[in-house]
Amino acid sequence: MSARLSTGATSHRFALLCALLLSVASSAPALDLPGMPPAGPPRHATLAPIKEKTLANGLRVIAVVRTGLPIFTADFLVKSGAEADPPKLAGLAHLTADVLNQGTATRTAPEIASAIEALGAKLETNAHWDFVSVKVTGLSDYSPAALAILADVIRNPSFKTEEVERVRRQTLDQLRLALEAPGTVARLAAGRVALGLSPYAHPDAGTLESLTRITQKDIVALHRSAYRPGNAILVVSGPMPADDVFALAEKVFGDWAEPHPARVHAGAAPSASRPAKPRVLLIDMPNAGQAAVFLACPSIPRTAADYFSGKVANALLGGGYSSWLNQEVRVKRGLSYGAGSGIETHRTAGLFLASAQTKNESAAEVAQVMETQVTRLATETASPDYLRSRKAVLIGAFSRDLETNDGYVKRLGEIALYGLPLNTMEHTVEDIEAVDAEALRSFAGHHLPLSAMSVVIAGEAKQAAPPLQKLFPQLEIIPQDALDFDAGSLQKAARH
Amino acid sequence: MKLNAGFAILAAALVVCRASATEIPRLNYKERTLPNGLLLIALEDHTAPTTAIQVWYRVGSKDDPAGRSGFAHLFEHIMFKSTKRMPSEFFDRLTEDVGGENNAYTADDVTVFYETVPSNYLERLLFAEAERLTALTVDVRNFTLEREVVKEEYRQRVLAEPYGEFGEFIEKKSFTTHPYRFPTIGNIEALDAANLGEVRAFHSTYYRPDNAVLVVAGDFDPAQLDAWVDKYFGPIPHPEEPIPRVTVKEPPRTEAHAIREYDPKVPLPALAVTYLGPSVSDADSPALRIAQQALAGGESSRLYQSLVYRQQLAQSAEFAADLRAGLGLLAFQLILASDVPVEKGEAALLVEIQKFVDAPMSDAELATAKNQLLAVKLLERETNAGKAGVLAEAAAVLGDPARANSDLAELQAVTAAQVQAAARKWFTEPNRLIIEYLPESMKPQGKEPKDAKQSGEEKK
Repeated sequence: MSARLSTGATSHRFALLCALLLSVASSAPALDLPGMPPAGPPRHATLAPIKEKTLANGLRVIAVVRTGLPIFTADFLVKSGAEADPPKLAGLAHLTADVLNQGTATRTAPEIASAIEALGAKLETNAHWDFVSVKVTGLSDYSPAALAILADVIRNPSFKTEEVERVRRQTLDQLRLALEAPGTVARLAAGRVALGLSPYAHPDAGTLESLTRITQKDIVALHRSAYRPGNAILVVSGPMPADDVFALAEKVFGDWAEPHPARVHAGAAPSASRPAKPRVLLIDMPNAGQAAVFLACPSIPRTAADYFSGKVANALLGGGYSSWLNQEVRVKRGLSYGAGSGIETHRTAGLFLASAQTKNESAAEVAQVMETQVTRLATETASPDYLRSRKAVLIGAFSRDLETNDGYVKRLGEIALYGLPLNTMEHTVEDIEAVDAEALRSFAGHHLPLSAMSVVIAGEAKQAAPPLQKLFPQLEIIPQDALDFDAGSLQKAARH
Repeated sequence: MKLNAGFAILAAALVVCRASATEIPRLNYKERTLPNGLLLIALEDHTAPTTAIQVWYRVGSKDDPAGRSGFAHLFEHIMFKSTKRMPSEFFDRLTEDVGGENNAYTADDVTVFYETVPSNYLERLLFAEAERLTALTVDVRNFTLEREVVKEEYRQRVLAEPYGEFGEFIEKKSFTTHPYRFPTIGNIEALDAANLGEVRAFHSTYYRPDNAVLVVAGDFDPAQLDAWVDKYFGPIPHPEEPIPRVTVKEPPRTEAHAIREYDPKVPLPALAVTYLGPSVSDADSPALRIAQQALAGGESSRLYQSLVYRQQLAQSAEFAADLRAGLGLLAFQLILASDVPVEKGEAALLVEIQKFVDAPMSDAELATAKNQLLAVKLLERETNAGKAGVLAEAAAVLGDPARANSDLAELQAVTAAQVQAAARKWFTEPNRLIIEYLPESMKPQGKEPKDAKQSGEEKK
């Protein structure tokens, strides 16, 4: 297994497979219910043909050929994201991506918007933790014109001062809004609390302070070092033949020279400092109509050998409507509209998060129920039926992604980004099925011990605090106004 | 044939002022009405090994009993509880436990239940949908617990979102008489007042085969599907009583109004300008759909270009032609940028609306709107669930599944003159309501009464 997860295919044109049939149906559970009809024989999903080619300048192009509707998706992935934001410049990757399509050497921002939308297409630029996505979705008849605009935006952004300032203002206003929602505040605080000052800990879209510090020069420098063909992947899914996609990529990106010698993008120092011990934190938001409750702890990177054990363990705990968390918090107790969990797996680290929103006075009860569910993972062996059902949740989500261009692009982009072989798609179902009770217990013991879990709540302290203080004597309370997301402590330094 | 990329780019550049000639494949569905009134729409498609099942009931929050705002939605949640033969949450056993998914939603006019499953499980879902239509057996404990869940949903959607109450306020103030003025999610008091007897009465009144549309789209054998539908849905009786329908008419507005409201949760002032609009089945419907796209669809749209990009008065600018069965609401919404006085945003928005009324949109704007809508319709048709939804909406809301295939042609035929005529007809001053929604901190100390109404003619 480890060999399969180490490096990607390096051949220039690697014909992965042709219309492979995938078994995505798990065996039918017996349902002992009067009148319930039997299930029919399982059917198979079809994996579309996937081809790849690396251009002379190093740009890797992956083409998925799906006959059917005349629409396509093309996603250009820059292999550097918010994880590389310098310590004082949280939000640099996001701001750069957001200004990217606001003007090029030959087109103004309104001209870009008009040109792309006239084609029935949509152009989106989004920074993520490990990458930036510049994605176009639209009518395949117009894919050459849409890709030409996509390439212009990626290669020739003008980053004009007035555009930088405009987007900065807009981003600050959006952040002001977001910081009034308890779910956002608790999520951002949970990252800091669990990961300290390490690369995936800061608010990825920036803070009210850091966004004012970013200069146009920072943006231009990031673009120069990170946005280059040797640091990028283009994934295209649609009805166009693969050779047409490669020719088109050559046309719009082929004459884009990789800088020599390749500039090394200054990535973040891996895991600078982790918090010494987990914390229990309440952020007091006096106007919050509900409290957001998060459990958080550091977790595995995407290429970890036990990645699929983590996916299945998380599915038992908080994946899907019938997972333990939602069963206990929502279905059995009526305490929330929904509870769930997830593992964000990045290049060098990961973050486990479980969350639910509840009325302020129930925050402590919800935190307690959530903690109890986390301990079940290490102490309890899930029934075979339950384990099968949670694997089916993961396999079902995978097979539904094979119904859309966007689903293919998302799955293949992730695989390629982390240097995994493209045929990971072929055995994803087997990898999920292979996880057994022992692997789950081991994963829970190593990566989800309650002793590593921080608790972060954002809500109205007047109602939420008293029961929380009883449950967690170590509870820290930070007023909303005293929050500083740039600080490891999350608190503004006291002024004298 | 090898694609000549250079030529294609040139060709595309030349046609951008024209609507695309791309064709949407027809949805070749079959429809049949059972003797008990249930409408079945079946679309066979073997592209993926999945089948989507949807049941649309023609009952929505406009049918909430008096004093029970949020009831239809609460009832939707109860439909996942026990039936004669199924324990609570059994739909999850039949869907997510085997790699499928299920959910439901309630709108003003309809309540929609939908599932996608690996296609070998289709028969089980037909059994289960028929079962909850006929044999719901909800008890007090289930009812009370689920009501708590819905109250948390209300808190999450409305109270925990900075502008959550703004959306509710717009509806409440935009309609004076029609039940569309009550929010679908309801409120805590009305939810607490609901009881089990009302749940049973609601079920027998509205959940009946002649008030439902069943759509099955995906990988199935049509003859087998017909036999299964007859087996599970055929025996369901057809009640004698007519289905109660909302007949209340919203009176036309006669003069411009302006309202100011304060909310401690909103960090920046917001603004809404609403006009009453036509029913979704009105002849103006396609023109207003185009208007929505041209005014607020994407960064090339009028409102974004003028208010967000050029003048930088708003941080978001939206317009929705929200056309419902009874009547529509044409609603503009801005959240202002920092340090922009609400009067300035308001004046600029009214200028944009007036421009849209005074002159027809350009050919390029019209072509862009049409191409965008074409792409939206194609994206909807990527999945079996999407195809089922398009057919069900056409049947349950527009009254004819054929509209799923004819709608696009109607949109493509709209002219700039028709869009302007619709704007002239609906964006009038007597039909206008302005709502300023401001942070509590902007409230003048101890003066203005809450909800003070002023004439729209006065400058505030």
